[in-house]
Amino acid sequence: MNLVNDETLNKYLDGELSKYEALEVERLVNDSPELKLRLTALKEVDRSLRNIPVPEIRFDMTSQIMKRIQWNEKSKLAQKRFIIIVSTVFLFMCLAVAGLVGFEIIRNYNPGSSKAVTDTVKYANSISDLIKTLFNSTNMTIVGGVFSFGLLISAYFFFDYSKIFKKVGK
Amino acid sequence: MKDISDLEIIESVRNGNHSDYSLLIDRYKNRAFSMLKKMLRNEMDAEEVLQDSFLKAYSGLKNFRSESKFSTWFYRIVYNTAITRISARKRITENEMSSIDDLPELKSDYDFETSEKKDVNKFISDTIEKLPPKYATVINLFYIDGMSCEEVGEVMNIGVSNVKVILHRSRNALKDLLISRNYVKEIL
Repeated sequence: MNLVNDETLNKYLDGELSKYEALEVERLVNDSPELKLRLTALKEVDRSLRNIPVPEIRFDMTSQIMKRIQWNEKSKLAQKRFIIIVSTVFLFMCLAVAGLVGFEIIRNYNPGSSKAVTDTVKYANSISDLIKTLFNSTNMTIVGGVFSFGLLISAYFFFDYSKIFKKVGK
Repeated sequence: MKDISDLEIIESVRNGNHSDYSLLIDRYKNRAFSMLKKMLRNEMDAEEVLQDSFLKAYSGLKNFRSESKFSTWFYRIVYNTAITRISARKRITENEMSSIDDLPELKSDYDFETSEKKDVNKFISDTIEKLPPKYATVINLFYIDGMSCEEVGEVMNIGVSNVKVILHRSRNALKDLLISRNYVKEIL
């Protein structure tokens, strides 16, 4: 090993050289003041790097993060509850409509007569007419108004909720 | 509390003891902050990124598999979050961040000649603040967090040989700086 470059010195420092190579480096370092200077500087850098102070965060970050985590957990739970409630209401409404239709079918059922089928079709048509009336141009203003009101109320609560979340998060 | 391993804490959090996560935060916050401060060079940004990283890690805890160390997994989240922040700030990509041919000439504001006590530790810690983010990260993970080159590579998604190149270049640059300031001649 005639040439000891910085790469070799780094490997020597990290103990990555074989025993023979390490001894050779040590011999060359002892013979060359320039090499000794480089190795000493490298050792000093390594020693200093091991003593770099770890900065400390000035505020209580742990409790802040824990607060945010708790808030996230709560909001997730609230979201779940909201979805469950909405789904349940929707399911009950569907069941109620289905039950009502079923009830009418059973009530008008008369075996051996085509009247029952005619009555069911008539009943279905009347429901369709009711929906059409509800959403016609005259009633649309009222339905739209109620819908917008509901939307505004939801938006208010949504933004209020977001504000609280940001406050707790900071 | 110091005797409890990371995996035991994670298991406890998974079992519903959410407050135990604070043990992991206390364990890693300062060292991760040290890395982020060097990467982002801004304390406010470092604090924000650190908080986001802890929240991301908490959300992803259920997906954490004990095959790798928690520290490696967590530092990868921290590193990637910081890279995203830097990319957004400077519009540079992770690939550019990962190139290893950009160690500029190092300079230090610390004046050896005028200072009464020639504090090489202060000089070195002052100078590594000026290293490019990738170099500072390798130094931080290797020296402060005591990671092996393999673990550092895993965190930064680069090969072990690249980690070694970065480590050696950083040391050499600092060594040359010490020699140019005649510090070593005095201690020899």
